[in-house]
Amino acid sequence: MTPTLILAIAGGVLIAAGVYLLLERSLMRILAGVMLAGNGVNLLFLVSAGPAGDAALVGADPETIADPLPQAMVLTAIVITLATSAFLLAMSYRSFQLEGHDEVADDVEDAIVRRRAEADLSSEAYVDISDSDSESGGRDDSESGGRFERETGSRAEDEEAR
Amino acid sequence: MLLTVSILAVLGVVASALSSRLGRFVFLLPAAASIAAAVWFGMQGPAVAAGEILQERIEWMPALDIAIDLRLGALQWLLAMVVLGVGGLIFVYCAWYFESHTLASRTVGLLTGFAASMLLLVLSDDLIVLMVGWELTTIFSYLLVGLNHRSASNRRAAQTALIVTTIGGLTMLTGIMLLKAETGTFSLAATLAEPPQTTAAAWAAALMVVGALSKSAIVPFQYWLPGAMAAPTPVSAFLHAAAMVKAGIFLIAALSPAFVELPWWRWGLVSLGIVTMLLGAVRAMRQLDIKVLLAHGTVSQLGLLVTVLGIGTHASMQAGLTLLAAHAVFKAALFMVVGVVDKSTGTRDLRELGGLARRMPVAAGAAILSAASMAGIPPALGFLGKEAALDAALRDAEGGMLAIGWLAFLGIAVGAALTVAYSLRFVVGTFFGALVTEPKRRSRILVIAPVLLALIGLVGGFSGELISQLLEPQVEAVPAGEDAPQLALWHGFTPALVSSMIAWLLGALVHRSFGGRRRAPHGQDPLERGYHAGMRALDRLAVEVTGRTQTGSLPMHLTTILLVVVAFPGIALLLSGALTSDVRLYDSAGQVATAVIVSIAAIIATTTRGRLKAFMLLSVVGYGVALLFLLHGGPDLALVQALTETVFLVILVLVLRRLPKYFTDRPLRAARYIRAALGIAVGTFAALASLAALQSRTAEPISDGFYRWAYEFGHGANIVNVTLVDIRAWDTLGEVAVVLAAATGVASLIFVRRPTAGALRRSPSATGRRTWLRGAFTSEQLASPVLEMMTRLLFPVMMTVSIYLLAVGHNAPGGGFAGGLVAGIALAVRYLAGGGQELLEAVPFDAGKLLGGGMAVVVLSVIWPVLIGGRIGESYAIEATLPLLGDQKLVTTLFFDIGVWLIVIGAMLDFVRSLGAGIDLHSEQNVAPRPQWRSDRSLPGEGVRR
Repeated sequence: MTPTLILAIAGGVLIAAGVYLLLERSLMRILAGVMLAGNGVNLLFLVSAGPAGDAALVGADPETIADPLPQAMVLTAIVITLATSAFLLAMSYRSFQLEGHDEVADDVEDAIVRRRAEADLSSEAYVDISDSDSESGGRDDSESGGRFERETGSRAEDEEAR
Repeated sequence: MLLTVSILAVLGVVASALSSRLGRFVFLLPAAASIAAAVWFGMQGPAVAAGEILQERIEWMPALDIAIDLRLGALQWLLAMVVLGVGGLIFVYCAWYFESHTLASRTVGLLTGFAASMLLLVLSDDLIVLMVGWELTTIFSYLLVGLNHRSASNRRAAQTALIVTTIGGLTMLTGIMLLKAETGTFSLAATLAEPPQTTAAAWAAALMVVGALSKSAIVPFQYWLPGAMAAPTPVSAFLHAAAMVKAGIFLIAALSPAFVELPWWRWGLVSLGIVTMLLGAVRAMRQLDIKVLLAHGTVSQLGLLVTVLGIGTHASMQAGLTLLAAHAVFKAALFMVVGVVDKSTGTRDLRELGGLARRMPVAAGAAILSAASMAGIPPALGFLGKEAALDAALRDAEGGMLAIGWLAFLGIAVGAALTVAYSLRFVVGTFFGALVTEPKRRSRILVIAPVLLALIGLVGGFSGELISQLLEPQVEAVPAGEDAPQLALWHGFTPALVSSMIAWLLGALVHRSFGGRRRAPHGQDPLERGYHAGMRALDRLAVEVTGRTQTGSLPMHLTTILLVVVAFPGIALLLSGALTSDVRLYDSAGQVATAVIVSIAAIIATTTRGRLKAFMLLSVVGYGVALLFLLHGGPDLALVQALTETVFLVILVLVLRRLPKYFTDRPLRAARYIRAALGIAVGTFAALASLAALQSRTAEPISDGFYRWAYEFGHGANIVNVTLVDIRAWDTLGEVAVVLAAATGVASLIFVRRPTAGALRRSPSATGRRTWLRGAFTSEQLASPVLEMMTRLLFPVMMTVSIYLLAVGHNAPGGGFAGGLVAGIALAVRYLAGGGQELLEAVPFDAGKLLGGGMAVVVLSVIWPVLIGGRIGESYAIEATLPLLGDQKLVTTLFFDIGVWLIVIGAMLDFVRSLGAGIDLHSEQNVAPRPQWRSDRSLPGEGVRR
């Protein structure tokens, strides 16, 4: 089948503009990017639907109607984009409410992992008991109430790394 | 058979719930079920011994050739008896073992579930179903070992057990797949009937054996088993002595008829078995904790089983299976005795035990009988098995396979001597000598189960003939070796008996020399150390990789992803030649004009700093796209797009009230050129890909049939709507679930912890002026009488339009989405005219009720046809002639659309109520952000609860 060039170009422009905004740190601009890119992708769906045609209603000539399947997909996509946009909007508002701005900060956990990597440490979740004598096996002393053991070792290591 | 598995599985689920009523006696439920089932299986014994095979089959996934196919042959019968018989007694034991209620209720479900999955494992003929049972036992083992999850070492032991056995299990799954590729079937019986001879099949067998070895704790996987002793003692008795660790042995026994002639089979199994046997026995000699001593003993015994079965003759199969039964019986009994000792003295340490025989004679008797069986002392069942094993090895040595036979013989004999030694260490150390710790409690009922098992072991010793008969079908299945001799206590003064006697003597000597040692074991198994080092290295690798790749910056991550998109699929697209110049420039002049306007608006929107301006430009794009949809022949799309654009504009303006006028980011930064370049690259790639996709289409579009289906099956003329509510209803179901989640998310971001409608209390309208709306603003400065009047007139009209769109949607443009959006706009108008109060007048309850109710309608309308014998999602048309309305047709998918309609209205209500009335409330309470004049920042709300 032959695609329509002008629709592909418009879709491409919208996606390009959307990606440009998506790479920002401000949530509101990211939201604008999501909406633009979403519209762009929906236009590309139309490209894949083939040539323009009549409304897909039974009664019209089956040869001249537009492909209904991409339309159904786009319809769901539109509503989902609206829902996602409303959610991002609320997130941005909440961010302003808490911080006074809506910039996405760098992830704190990632920074912790990076520091651990630089200090040649294992992950926080990793508990090293291989040095201790594991041959004695554990005891099912949950019968006697059980103690709550908290591994403070790796936390301390992490503090060290900082 | 299937009934037993199902009953146990159901019991596993309900038992935990019942435990709050029955307390620890809840264990008697699975106990009764297991023992009853064991009796039934026992009654099948004669038929099975005669070579009959009981079969039950339920198709599961016929397309993949997977069926729940249970086959009860001799081998399966033996294992089922172990699982149900020994298991039943362990359940009885549990009822008196567990005292704390929480532990009992946690254990009972897991242990019963384990019994069900173990039974499924041994009975299943379909290798995939077998694998399901196999992995289920692994998971139950993990949960049971980690039962006391507060202890770090227990958690770690559970994790080790899980990782080691799962690695084995996945290896085995690979083997099963490979085998299926060779034989074309997942059926074990069919594979055994025609064993494949190819190299690939040999590899498949090797991979499956690796799985078996890991499950049965054979070197190099043996270290997980002693750690698994962190589980409560009855669990260890069941999983890590009697049943689960036998799964690998079972698999080896089941596969050996087909693969025993592979060159590595005998050598590999016999040597790994001997190494495991000796290692386990030597380590058992050094233990102070009697439970861990027995665990190392189990490792050793499992090694013995693999050695004997590895010989791969008729005689060795008989000996191996007898030993398997003997081990299940005596080791479960011994573990239970350990539990009794632990309960009454409070210790399992050999340094604190001794002389208990006088205080606990019954338990001591059971222990001595069972230990005699373990050490292979007549007349116990274990003696029968070990004699047969030594005999089988010798026959092998005489019958041509000289080296393997002698190796196995020597290994078994030395192993037997060491077994005698550690059996003595256990019995003498615990029950004889000076009394160290006085038993505090007496537990008469607790000893019943171990005593019964010990007696079974004793009776078994005198039932050699019966056992030989029962095992015969499986023994005959092995292709090699002469006929197996009948099991008996007395064969005459044979070489096997002589070597047994030498082993007893040697064992006693070893015990005399080393058995008195009371030093704490030190040093770690090198394999275990290797495992831990490996895990640590893996963790370090993960940290390094994460530290290097995860920068934590969202733009960086997106850039990486998009670069990969452009680089790999992009280059592939250009190289593939799928892209041709065969394009149509445009469909209509209107399309060109709209596309140009949309593109320009989008480009300006990226560079603008003004918040409102940017989003107004986005609206231009949105409405333009709606026009493009219309021009393309999608009136439904155009309608929904225009409506969503309107709704979004409303809620956007509601939020923008409280946000600064300008965007944060200064547009002029060096990085923006990089972003622009990436954006252009991604946009170009996407556009080209969409062109190429259509140009390279060869098949007929799936939607060609929709025209016909829409009317024949969907009973509607609007094909797009029928696609949404009927042909692709699942898709829509998922989508409205997303809408529901997003709407709930919005409400919870604004109202954080309070219910939405509750936060906005309805106050009686105390307005002094006459208004058009009941909930109108009380303040005259806020109120707009014209808007109020318009709302009064418009709202009913809009709701009528909404319902009209919903009703005609099946045959004309419209539908639940469009209808719901119109209703949402109507609600927004109510809010704009009269604020939150007026919205409460319109909908005096939480949006959650609409969302939840809508979801319920959607789900019910998809599944209800099942109730009348239809398929999920089937639709029906009811035609009737009504007065005034004439011939009318009601299609059942209308209810689906009504559900969608409700969800969309609920979501719109949540959006308007949260972002409108909710933010109003924040302003009143001074917690809303306050935008700064000519700045891109706000002051955060004061005293906001986080």
